[in-house]
Amino acid sequence: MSSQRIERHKLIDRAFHWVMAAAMFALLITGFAPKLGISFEWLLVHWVAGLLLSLIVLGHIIRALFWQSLRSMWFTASDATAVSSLLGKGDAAKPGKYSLAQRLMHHAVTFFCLAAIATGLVMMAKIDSPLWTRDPYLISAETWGLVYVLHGLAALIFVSLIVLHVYFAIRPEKLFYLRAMAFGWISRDEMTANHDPALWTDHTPRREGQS
Amino acid sequence: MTKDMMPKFDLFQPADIETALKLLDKYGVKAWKMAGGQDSLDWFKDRAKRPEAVIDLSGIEALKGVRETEAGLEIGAMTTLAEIAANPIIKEKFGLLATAASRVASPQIRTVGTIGGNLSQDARCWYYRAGMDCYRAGGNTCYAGTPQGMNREHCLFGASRCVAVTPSDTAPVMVALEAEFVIRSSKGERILPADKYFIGPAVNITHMTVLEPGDILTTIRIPSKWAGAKFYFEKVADRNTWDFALVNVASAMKVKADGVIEDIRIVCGAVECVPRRLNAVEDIVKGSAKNDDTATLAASSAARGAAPLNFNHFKIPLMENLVKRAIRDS
Repeated sequence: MSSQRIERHKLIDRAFHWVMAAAMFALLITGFAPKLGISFEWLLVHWVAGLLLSLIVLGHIIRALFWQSLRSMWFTASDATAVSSLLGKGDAAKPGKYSLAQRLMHHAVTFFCLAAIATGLVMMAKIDSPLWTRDPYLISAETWGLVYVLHGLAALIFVSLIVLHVYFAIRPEKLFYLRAMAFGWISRDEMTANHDPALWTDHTPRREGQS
Repeated sequence: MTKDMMPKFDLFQPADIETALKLLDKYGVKAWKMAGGQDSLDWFKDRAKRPEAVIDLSGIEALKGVRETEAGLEIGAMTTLAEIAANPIIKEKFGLLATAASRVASPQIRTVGTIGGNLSQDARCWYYRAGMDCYRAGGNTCYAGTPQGMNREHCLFGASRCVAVTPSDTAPVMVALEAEFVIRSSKGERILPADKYFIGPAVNITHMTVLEPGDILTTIRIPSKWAGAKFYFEKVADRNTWDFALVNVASAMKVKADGVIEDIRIVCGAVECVPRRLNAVEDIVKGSAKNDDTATLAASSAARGAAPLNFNHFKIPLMENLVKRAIRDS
């Protein structure tokens, strides 16, 4: 292994990720356990975790817009080679900082997370909190029905995405990504084996001479 | 609202608990356990509940009767309220329960209505009863907990989306007497203290009790701890008979020879989805003289933390006065 470490995730981004993960797990457990017959006082934990997730996502969006490279998450023409490779036609070009699969996962999570958050925030109007009194007449009954269906659907799809995410995070050949999300770095060998340094838009060498 | 005739269902009348449990397992959530039937038949006629199979428990003799044990008293869940109100042992040792049972509904209903049914009955919120798709009915709104909602009978405490209250007159008594509830299912038997039997909307918004589809409440055990204590039960309702409580109070108190309150349990019904034990009141009066001053002081803390709805503010002074009388007059 090359001695050089490449910073993949800054501390603040790792903190965002893990707090987001904790909030999502709290939301999924409090949302689905009662449906499975496990009765407990879930509502308070659910909406507090939902607010936490909303704030974290908002923070992440602001950080991504002003401090991070949005380009690293975009699709490029070279992604076509990854698709061709999946179809058995030639080798895939190495991606930049994030592989096509990672970006697709991110965008899917983004879409359904925002759907769950948007509908969840509307549903907050149905409960009393220290800050407001409930108002179930905020929108029509039909629209409420739609809000509930979309919230539930987004949550269900979320479960599938998380299963996929965890599965790939713990696969042996992908474990260095999990380490990167825990400690922030990957080695130069791992980088050159899996990524194209020329397309890696925001890397900075961390510590020289350490393995 | 259709009130012409009930939709079709299969009626089963098992003679023993095992057969009833097998039927409950077979039909699962499509089964309906019927005790005295005083509530069930209304649900069916209103077509708000449409079970596939009705399991009538009234033929199970093992679920009936009052028995004295070394630990206290055992009451079969299918014992009628009239039997409980008239039972000499209950009247002598646990007059609180006899009084509460005698205040349920009307004489005709008490003759067929059972203690198990009274304890396990569903919420009386009229939006829910009218078959509206509220939270308790599996929907996604509460019609009573809104500024326009008719919520005169609803809760002061523990609202969590749903604002329904426990309608039972005997439930607060069971909590006051530290009763235990024996529940059978095909998986075995479990015993719960009374205050764990009732559950609020924060825990399960579609259930008033912990009973699952395959469960049967078989027995209520009342320990001898409070036998012969000073009791007080009072129910305030719009009508003196055949009505549900606006607020009721049940208390059991032990008083020393010098007039000092040694121990007390005091519980209010119809102010929360579960019987509300008044811990603050108990703490205030324990060790104090049983007199008007103590009762007045304790009453002032009875409704602490209440969050009244638009039309039920009157329940706060009502609750305070009932608590005052329970301590002063028991």
